Amino acid sequence: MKGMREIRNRIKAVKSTGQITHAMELVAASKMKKAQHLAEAGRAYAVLLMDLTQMVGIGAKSQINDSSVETKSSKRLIIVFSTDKGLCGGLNTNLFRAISEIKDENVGFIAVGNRAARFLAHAKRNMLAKFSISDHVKFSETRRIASAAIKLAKDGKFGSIEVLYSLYVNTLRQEPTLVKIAPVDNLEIFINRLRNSYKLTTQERPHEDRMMNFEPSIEEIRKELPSYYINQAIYHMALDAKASEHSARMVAMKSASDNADKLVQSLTMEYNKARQNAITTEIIELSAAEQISE
Amino acid sequence: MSIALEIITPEGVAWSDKDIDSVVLPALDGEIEILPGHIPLITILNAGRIGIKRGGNEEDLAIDKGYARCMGDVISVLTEAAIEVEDIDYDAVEDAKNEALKAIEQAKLKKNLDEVEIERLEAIARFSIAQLLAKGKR
Repeated sequence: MKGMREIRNRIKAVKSTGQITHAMELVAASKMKKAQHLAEAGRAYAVLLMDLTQMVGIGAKSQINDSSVETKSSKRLIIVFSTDKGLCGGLNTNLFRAISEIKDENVGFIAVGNRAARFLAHAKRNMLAKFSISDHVKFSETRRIASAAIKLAKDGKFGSIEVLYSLYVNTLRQEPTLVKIAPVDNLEIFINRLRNSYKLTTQERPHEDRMMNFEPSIEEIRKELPSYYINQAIYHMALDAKASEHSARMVAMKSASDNADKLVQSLTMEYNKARQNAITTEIIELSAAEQISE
Repeated sequence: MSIALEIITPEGVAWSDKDIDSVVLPALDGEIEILPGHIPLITILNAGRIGIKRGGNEEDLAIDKGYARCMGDVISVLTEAAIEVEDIDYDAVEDAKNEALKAIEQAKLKKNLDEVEIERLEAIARFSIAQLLAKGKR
């Protein structure tokens, strides 16, 4: 059995660590609430906008973003949304595993958040730009990312713009997700996935056999909708990524605090046993000494 | 036959209901009225008034610019902002509009224009004017 002093020091250390993780849990919880609220409010809007963009793309009988990307090129531009700080469970690791699975040589990355930048640099992947977003994501921040992505895609002749982020389902569930946002050719699966994991109650796309009409004209709609869609999609994904980050951190810190509490309990038990042992030994020694003197 | 309408903004679902007789939308080229059985349509919307007729009642909403999709008697409106006309505070909106317009004037005098800020102010002004017009129709 360890000495009493050793155990006492251990208890002190674990207690102070527990205090720190508990404080971090509280901070993450308050940030989480805000981030979750923002992400949840924007869900219906993002999904409807994607649906609309896809329909305009079908109506035009060609890819909607062929002006922003070279559809023939096989090069891919991937925006990775990671966190700036660690201590958020397996969130970043899951994203990085998804990056490792992309074996393709013709991929350019845009890193959002320090962790992704560090990982990409370490893995010697082709990193083209790096951004940071604040805890309270502003549209102006993601807009910079979107315009950089569109410019890079044009200059570097990329065939698609994709986003890798943690899809926020609920506090306990975040899924690493890779989705192609331009060109818009197969968003339907993603839209259905979002509807399911978000449990949206808004109207689904109704069935319709007649030809779609466009007012004032499809060209007029195609002028503004694509860039608006890319901006909004990236904004929405950034909100989701932030909600995921704070949820994951809150959960990680909560389990760390719980573990610290448990550890303190078992250490206290051990300490009490050691103390009792010491007392018992002392009494035995005393009584033995007394017997001898009699 | 009746129509279902939902108005969706970045802040969530602003308005949603079924069994509507007709909806007036502020399309780019002027107001259009949508009745049950309307042809499928995707249109750009101006900032303006959405009129909803149900039974004998009429309800009005003010919206910012956006898009609308009419399909299989379901109308989905995608807009930056929406408010029910009863909730509009005339004086507050008037103030907001004037302040935004003034700020735009001042911002435009400066050399380094902050596009994002100007767009934000313009959105406030545009939506305020739409609200004032919608309220004025009553």
